[in-house]
Order: sequence, then structure tokens, then C-alpha cells
Amino acid sequence: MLKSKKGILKPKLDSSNLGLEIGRIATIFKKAGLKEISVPSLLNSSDLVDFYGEDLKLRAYTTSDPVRGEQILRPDFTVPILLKHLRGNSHQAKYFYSGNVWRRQNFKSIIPNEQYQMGFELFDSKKTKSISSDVEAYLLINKILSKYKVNSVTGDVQVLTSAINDLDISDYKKTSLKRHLWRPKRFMRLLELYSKQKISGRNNNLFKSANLLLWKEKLRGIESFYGVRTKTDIKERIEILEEELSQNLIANSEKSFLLKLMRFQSSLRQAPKSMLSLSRVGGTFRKAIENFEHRVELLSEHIDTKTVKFQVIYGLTTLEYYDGFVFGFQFDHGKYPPIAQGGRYDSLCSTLSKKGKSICAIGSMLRMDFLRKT
Amino acid sequence: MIRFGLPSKGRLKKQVEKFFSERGLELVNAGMIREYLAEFKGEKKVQIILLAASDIPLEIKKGNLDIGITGRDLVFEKILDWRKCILELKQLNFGEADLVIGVPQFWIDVNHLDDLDEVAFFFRKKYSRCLRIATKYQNITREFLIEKQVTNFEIIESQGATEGAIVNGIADVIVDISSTGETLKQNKLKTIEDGTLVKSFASIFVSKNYYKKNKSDVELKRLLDRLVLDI
Repeated sequence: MLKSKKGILKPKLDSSNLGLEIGRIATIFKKAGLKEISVPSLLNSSDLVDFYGEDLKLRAYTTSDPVRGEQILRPDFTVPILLKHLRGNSHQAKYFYSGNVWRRQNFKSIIPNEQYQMGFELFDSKKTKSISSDVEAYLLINKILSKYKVNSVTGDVQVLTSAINDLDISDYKKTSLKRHLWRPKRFMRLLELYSKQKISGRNNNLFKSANLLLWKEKLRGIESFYGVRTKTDIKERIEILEEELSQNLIANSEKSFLLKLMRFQSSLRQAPKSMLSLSRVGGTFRKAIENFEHRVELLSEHIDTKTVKFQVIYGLTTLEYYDGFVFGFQFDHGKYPPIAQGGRYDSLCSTLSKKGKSICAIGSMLRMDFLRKT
Repeated sequence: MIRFGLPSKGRLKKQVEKFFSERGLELVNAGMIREYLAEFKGEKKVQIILLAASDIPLEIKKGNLDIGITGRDLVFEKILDWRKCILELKQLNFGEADLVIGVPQFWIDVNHLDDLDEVAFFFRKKYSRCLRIATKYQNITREFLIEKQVTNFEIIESQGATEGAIVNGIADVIVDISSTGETLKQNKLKTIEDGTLVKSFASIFVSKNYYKKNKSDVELKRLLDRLVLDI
């Protein structure tokens, strides 16, 4: 039997107990008004690579099929359910799911390649209902796991994006920073590139001013172009870079605020006030904190938010498409992956929604293989 | 019998032969299917098997070969976690080739990975698709670009003539082997500053499993000693 810091860890559920637990959780979902949804285990590769990017192929199992093309074993439920929902006509819907997902793991990993997951996705067309759905989602998982000894951690990507929106820099720079929030190395590199105070000797790749004129000159002389990227595309990018030369860089005070914010953690109860006191803050950030505070208040009606942890960057590296409220539940020891994780993914919805449907969504999954006896 | 895999054609084959003759080992044809089997003159314990350089890594892993000489790039590409099953006995001073990113020369604004990442994002915005990268080296390319945190790219498998993929409209960018840069130039492609994925050359590889079982074998020891000899 494994020992945790706080004593002996209870054994995993055997298959009959797991079956009972699946039934219990399904009942909770149904009572909460959720409808069971199923999606295929084999998914079309090109649909998925399109928005997960190539990283997917490092984690998912791909199969070859000369007729249907490359197929992928379902690496999670969220994206296939979202795609299915978008194909339908309804805007609002509450689904739950139950089944296997398959992911490659590296050889040291303790996560099984084939894992059983249950979870849910809540879709709505109205942004105004987001906060109450956030609360609904968190409380649902909280209820399911209330018989276990678990801790929860919360985060909010919106807090960071709003702080970036408040920076006194061009939209170009803001967009670049925001789209790399999930990739810390590239994000920090951009933050350096866009800052007034530079680490000495650093190569400023994106903005080599003297080159821009030379590039334009060269471009005029070129006659043969091929491929999708046109002469106009190149010209436009050079013009953007040129325009950026005269634009603001991130002030030192702003940069240190951003770095402070990224390191911020406290109890959920305390978080709104403490974050506001970090520095002089702009309007978008203030608005995000107001929303945040509203969510904390609603949650506090049901749970003790002083015991819930909050970290601004919680889940940024592991929960890549989440862009708002995020949460995770864990047993009292750090060795195992979170038993449940979830969050809001509105921008993924708008990226994938081709008909211009406005859809907001929050979801969460439970790693059933990691449940233990109580 | 020690099964020794060597490249069956090309410049690499000639360089390997030279490497052997410097160490007093002469390759001679053996038997009927002479093109793909050989032996060292006077050495009855070593069976030389000639095959495509790109097949050598996997055959060592599978246990069909005990030793092999091939490019490091091919080992990295064909076997993830290759260090778990293959021993790199000696790095050789031939077969140099770099695996590089090639972009059209007229992309004068693209000179770094930063630029490539940004252009890939523009592709997504303007053409609603990822930047397409054609390569024979899918695994290395994917790992390299993800490690560098480049986004919005998609890898297109190419079995050969990769340098033509852009003109053919199959891809926007390529990743390919370049030893002198001449092929890239001929196809109006250029490299970018931080776009070298692997600096490759030939090495002697030994199956770990085989080595563990036979390391006290006198014949094997004699052969390996001869191979690692610096001339």
C-alpha cells in the first residue's frame, strides 16, 4: 500500500466498486438535468489536428486507414462533443459522458494509456450566464467528490488576458502575448522582446529595424512567387513590423505587475481583494476582477471559499484551450494527477463555430481510474 | 554469427567501405544473393547485411541486426527513446548532414523561428488553416517545433523529393537533409537562423540487448575493438 504524507493511501476501486461509482455519478448528473451524450471512439485526424495542432499526435494514438484516412483514438471528450453540438441546432445544452479515452504517456508516467473518464459540458448562448454556469460546474464536481478527501485549486485565465488588454501597447503585441499564454517559454520571450528594459545581448528578432527597408527593396525586385503566401502577404507583414517600430514597448512597471500577477496565489476568498491591491490597475482588469468577485460570492453561498486555493496561472500549461475560470481537484498528496479538472473554453467554441453561432461553454472531466476507497 | 547492417548504396556506402579498409577490413561478396549479403575477407563470424540506411535503426531495435552503421538523424527519427535499446558505439567523421527548415527565398521577412510562428498564425487567420510542413522526418520535426513552442503548423508526410513540395503546392515550408545547401539553393529555398533541427553524421550503433548478452564473446570484442580504433 502506498503511503502519502498524511497517512496511508486507500486502495483503488475494484471493477465492481468502479461500476457502482459510475452509476452513482451518472445519477447525480441526471438529477442535475444533464443528458447523456455519446461520441465515436475513432475520430477523423485532420479535424482534430486543425485545432489541437501537431502536439496532438505526440499524445494521441493515430491509426492508418487507406480508405477513411488517418483516424485518431479519442484523446478526450470535450472537442468531439463540442463539434457534435455545433452540428445541431440547439444553443443551450447540458451533456454528460462516460467512456474511455486513449493517450500516449511517456514511460515514467503513472497515468494509464487507456483511462476511463466521466464528465460534462454545459453550453449556453448567453455570455451573461457564464458566471452562474461556472458555479454550477464547480459545485457539480464538488458534490460528486464530497465523499472523498480532496482539495481543490482554482484559476482564472481571464484575469491574465484582461491585464494584457490593459497594457499600453499595440493590439498586435497584445494578440501575440495572449496567444502564447499557454506556452511559457515563448510567452516570456515575447514579454522580453516587447519590454523597454532588455536583458543585455538578447537578439531582437522580430524588430530589426534597418532590415525592413532592405526587405521592401528586395521584395520589389523579386518576380517569381509560388505557394499560398503572396507578395501582398509579405508586404503586409513588413508594413506591420514597420508600424510596430513606432509603437510603445511595455513599461517596466507594467511588466513587473504582469510578472507579479502570474506568480499570484492565495485563498479563493481572499483573491479578488489581494489582486486589486497588486498595483495601479486598468479598467479591463478591474472588470475581470469584478466578475471574479461575483463568482466567489456565489460560490461562498455553498462552500467555504477560504479553503479553496487560487493560482492565477493554474492549469495554464496542462489545460490548453481553457480561457476563463479553471479548477482541479486532488487527493491530499501531489504524486497523482488531479482526479478532476475543468474550465471554461469560450474561444475554442467561437473558433470552431463556423456558422457564427455564439456559444459559451464550461466542462469538466473525472479521472475514474484514480478514485480510491473512502 | 554477428549480423552487421550497412547502407546498400550511395555516398554513405563508399565512405563506410573506406572506413573499413583503413582498419584492414575488406568487404567481399558472399553467396548467391550477392548484392545484399557480404562478409569481411577472412572473417567467417561476421555476416554483412546491406539494406537501406533508413531501415537499419528499426532492424537493430527489432533484433534482426546486432550492429549497424547509419546516420544519427535516421536513428533519432525512426526510434523515439532510442537510447533505451541502442548503444552509440562510435561517432564517425563522415556522413555529415544537417536537418534544416527550408522556406522560399522570397519570404524575405522570415529569418527566425519567431517569424515562422507568426507567419503560421497569419496563415490561420487569413487562410483558415495551419502552416504545412512537408518532411520525411515527421517525429524529429514535430518534437523540435513543439519544444520551441511554435504553433499552428501541420506536418505533411513526404516520401522523397521534399524540396519540390512547395512549388507543387503540397506544403508551405519543408524540413529536409542538407549537406551543402546546394539542393535548397537550386530550388530557391533558404534556411533560417535557428532552424537547424539536427546536426547529423554517421555512427556505429549496437543493439543493447545483444551487447548485454554477448559482451564477453571474444569475436565480438575483437570486432568492436577494431571498429573503435582511431586511425
